[in-house]
Amino acid sequence: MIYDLINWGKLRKALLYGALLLAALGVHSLVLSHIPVLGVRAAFVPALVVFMAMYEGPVWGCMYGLLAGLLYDGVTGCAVLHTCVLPLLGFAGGFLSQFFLNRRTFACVCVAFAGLLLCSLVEGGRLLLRGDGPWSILWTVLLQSVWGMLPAMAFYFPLRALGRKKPEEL
Amino acid sequence: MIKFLKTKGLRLLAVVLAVVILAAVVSGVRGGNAGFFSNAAATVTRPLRQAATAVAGWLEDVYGYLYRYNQLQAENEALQAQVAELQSQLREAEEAVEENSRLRALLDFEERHSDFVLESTRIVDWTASNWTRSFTISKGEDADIALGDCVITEAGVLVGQVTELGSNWATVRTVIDVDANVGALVGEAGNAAMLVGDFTLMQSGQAKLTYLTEGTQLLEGDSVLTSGKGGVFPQGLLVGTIAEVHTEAGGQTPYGVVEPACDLDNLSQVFVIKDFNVVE
Repeated sequence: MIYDLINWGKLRKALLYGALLLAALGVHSLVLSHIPVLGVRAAFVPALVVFMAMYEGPVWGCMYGLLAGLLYDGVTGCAVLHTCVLPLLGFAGGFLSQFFLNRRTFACVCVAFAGLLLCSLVEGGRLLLRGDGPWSILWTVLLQSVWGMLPAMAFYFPLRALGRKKPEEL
Repeated sequence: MIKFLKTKGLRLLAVVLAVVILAAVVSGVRGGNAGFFSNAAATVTRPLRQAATAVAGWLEDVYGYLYRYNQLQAENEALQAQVAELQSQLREAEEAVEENSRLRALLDFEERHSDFVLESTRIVDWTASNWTRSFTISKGEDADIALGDCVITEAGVLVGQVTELGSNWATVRTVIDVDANVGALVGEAGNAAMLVGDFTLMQSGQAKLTYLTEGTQLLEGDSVLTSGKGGVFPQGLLVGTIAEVHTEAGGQTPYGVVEPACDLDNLSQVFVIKDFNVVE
């Protein structure tokens, strides 16, 4: 009876998305954060939220963004910044793919890059408003997003494969 | 041939026997020295014996190799394990020597600042973000570390301040972080100023010395010390030196670029000042 209450396919799918998120956080904190290129480290976790949202829709995207934001804040040492921004990114990505965009690789890459830029801009926004060197901040925003797209693409294909599967196929 | 043996065979046998007996007698008389015949025989057979010895040696080696292969393999593995263990011990010893020198430096520092209550801790990880320069240490509330505690090196150089606290970990914001704010004294006259973080300077591992009191003359190479005002940081801790002197965008207000006295990238062990006497 209780067994029938649970949609095991959806649960399995959610767990697989969670596992991919944990792997991405591991790669970010253990590998990429120690390899600055031109003094800037790659950040790609927000792109994963966008990819997932593009295939699963705004509700799943928002929930995934919330989970990713909570964990990502812990890794980056921010207080609540990503917990607020990533659910919005997830929702926006899902909304765009539901009503306006095709779920093609190019569209996903463009939206994910925009998401990375937006997230980086929010991260550096406080410093911009404070009056710290704007060019170095904008340069960091741009590089962080560009470098972030490279590892994000490595996670795009498993996310796409998972997103295209129906829960009952899992 | 048969005819020859029949007619002269007896005579030939007698001659041969006579030669043999003669050789035996001569050999006995010479007392162990090789005679002509033995010498000749030895000379003729020497290359053959050498070849035979070489072949026998080679066969013995092959046999030994096959027979002792497993034994040598086991021995090799044991030696490799021994080398790995020795290398590990060497690394530990090197680390212990480094720690020892750090603790010796700390002892000197403690003698000069007997009021400091210090807690030794290790850096676990640096924050994975481009927007901040902070790290996590391996001790927290359980070791009586509190928020706002000051963190130094073994030589008493200021590293940063505890900004986040867990039961067995704490986050330390370094002096070059964008949110750093340290009351400072600069130059021989000890003029008051503020050391603040700046994003552009943080990327090159430096901080900004600003809010200078009127008449302060900044010179490259001047030491920057903590002022101790406000009771957050003890007075007189070395922060760094003035690397460059610039003026703000308006062109009126000077500020200094401070190079920290400690090498933040190579820090592994730091010390938290849990308590100290506040100088009013």
